[in-house]
Amino acid sequence: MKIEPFGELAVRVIFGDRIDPVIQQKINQFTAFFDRHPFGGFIEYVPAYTNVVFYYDPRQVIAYGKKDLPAQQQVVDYLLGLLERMAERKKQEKSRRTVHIPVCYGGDFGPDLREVADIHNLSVDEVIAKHSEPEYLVYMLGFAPGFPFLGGLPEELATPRRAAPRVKIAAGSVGIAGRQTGAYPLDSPGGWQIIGRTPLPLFTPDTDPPTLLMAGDLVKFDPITEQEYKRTKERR
Amino acid sequence: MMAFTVIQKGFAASVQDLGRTGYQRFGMIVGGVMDPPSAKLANWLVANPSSTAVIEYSFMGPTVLFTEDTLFAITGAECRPKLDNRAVGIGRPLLAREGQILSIGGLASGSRGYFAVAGGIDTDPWFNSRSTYERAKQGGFKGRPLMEQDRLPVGRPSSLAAGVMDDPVPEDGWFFSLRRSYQGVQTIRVTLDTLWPRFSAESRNKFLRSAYRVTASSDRMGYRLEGENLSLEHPLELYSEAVTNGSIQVPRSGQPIILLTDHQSTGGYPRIAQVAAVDLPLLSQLPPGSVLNFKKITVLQAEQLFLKQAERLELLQKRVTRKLESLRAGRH
Repeated sequence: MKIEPFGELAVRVIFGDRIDPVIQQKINQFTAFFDRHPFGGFIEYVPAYTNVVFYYDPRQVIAYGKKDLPAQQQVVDYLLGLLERMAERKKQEKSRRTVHIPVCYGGDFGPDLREVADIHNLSVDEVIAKHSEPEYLVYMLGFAPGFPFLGGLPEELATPRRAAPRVKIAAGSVGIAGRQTGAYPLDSPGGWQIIGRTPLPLFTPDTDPPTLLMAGDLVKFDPITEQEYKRTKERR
Repeated sequence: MMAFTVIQKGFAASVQDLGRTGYQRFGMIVGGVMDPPSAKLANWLVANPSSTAVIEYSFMGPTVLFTEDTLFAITGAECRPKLDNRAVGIGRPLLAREGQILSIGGLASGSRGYFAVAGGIDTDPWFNSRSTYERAKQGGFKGRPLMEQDRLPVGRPSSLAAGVMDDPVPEDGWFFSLRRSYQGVQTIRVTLDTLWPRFSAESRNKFLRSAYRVTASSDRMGYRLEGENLSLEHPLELYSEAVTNGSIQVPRSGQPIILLTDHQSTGGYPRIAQVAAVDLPLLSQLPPGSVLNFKKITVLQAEQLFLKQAERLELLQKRVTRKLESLRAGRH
């Protein structure tokens, strides 16, 4: 673990240097511990694959803390202390939440499913089976509200982005880009290979938090028919 | 309920406050005004708290019809506003009578202006903020920039504002200003990113010694710059991680991008440096074509500059409040 400055209004606490569920778990444990022990002047934290950034207001840090020590030094000292305290405690394995996301694969909802299958010499059904089999880990949210960065796509489904990006990809679209898979919370332009669509909203502006998923969740895609898609959509 | 009506929408006019903090980990942006000191000054001039929602506009201000007597102020970029065809000043409180029309017009120097009304723009807050989040279609007025015929709700003016509103504010030429200049080459102070040593020696040298121009592909999300190409010494595998206001990213093209208020919460490009927070409001006012030089400072210097700027703004707020109190006292 090390802490680096990120400008004068934030620091970055670094837990590793690769995409790894164990590192994600450590970041999750640390932010959960921090939630119970925040410092005066703290604004928000943003976890990512290998690190988490803490934003703060230097005026408040100094007002709540020491008058004669730079705010960033005080934040770094505090977070180092918190890391030590957490290390001394007994390991509590926080169980992960699994979120099931129904997906209607292929057809109008997944215009690139056929192409993805052809690229990998698989049948369409094999692609669906392979994509809906793993439990994916949500490493972080970013890019758009509720957009999950998922890990765990089977190597054999890794597919390059489309040569010509689409101007509009509908909200709920499930796609593959390189070794990533994910779902679009909002209508967006994009170059992902779109293989299906979920009727569940990933961005939920009327609930708190405003997203279906959180960093640390597991995601399971459940194949559904077009009729089931429509029924779920109507119920909402 | 108090309100005013938009007659001409201007350019990219939207409701903004100091942003929506606490939700970046859900992939949401912070947003808010691009030039907080100017927006705060507009609020102080009409006796609002600093975080009250205002209208921010770019290049061309909106025209509005007041449907009740309203105390208002304009700050930020230079312009020549007219109240019913009578020229009025910026950087001071002004009283509009019911039925009067304010036209803010084109911006002469600077690229973002602020229009504040006593009581503030009173649209429904969303996640503790009234800032417009256009991509998510949330916050502000219906989650979008202003359009003609929009009727914007106005909150209750503070008692100090109400006292000042009793009579027309005397037109005796005084105004408050942040005393900035947007002309000529601007020096922008930066702290070096931890990836700085991974850029080639030539790139590091060019970054600090050559000029960069703000291109036309610049908006609330960020400024694309044009100048000497920058590159890493060796390619690096980088993962997406949190980025912030003022982060200077270098995509494969080699031409740097400075992230600004409406930046995404995370990004995966290498960052060479971070603009000192104290210089972000000025940077956000620079129109396309402006020329920048970057000057290296330490993180500790950046923190001290930030604290000093906050102190200076506090003093300005006190001066503005004293002026409003003297106006009120003069009446009673």
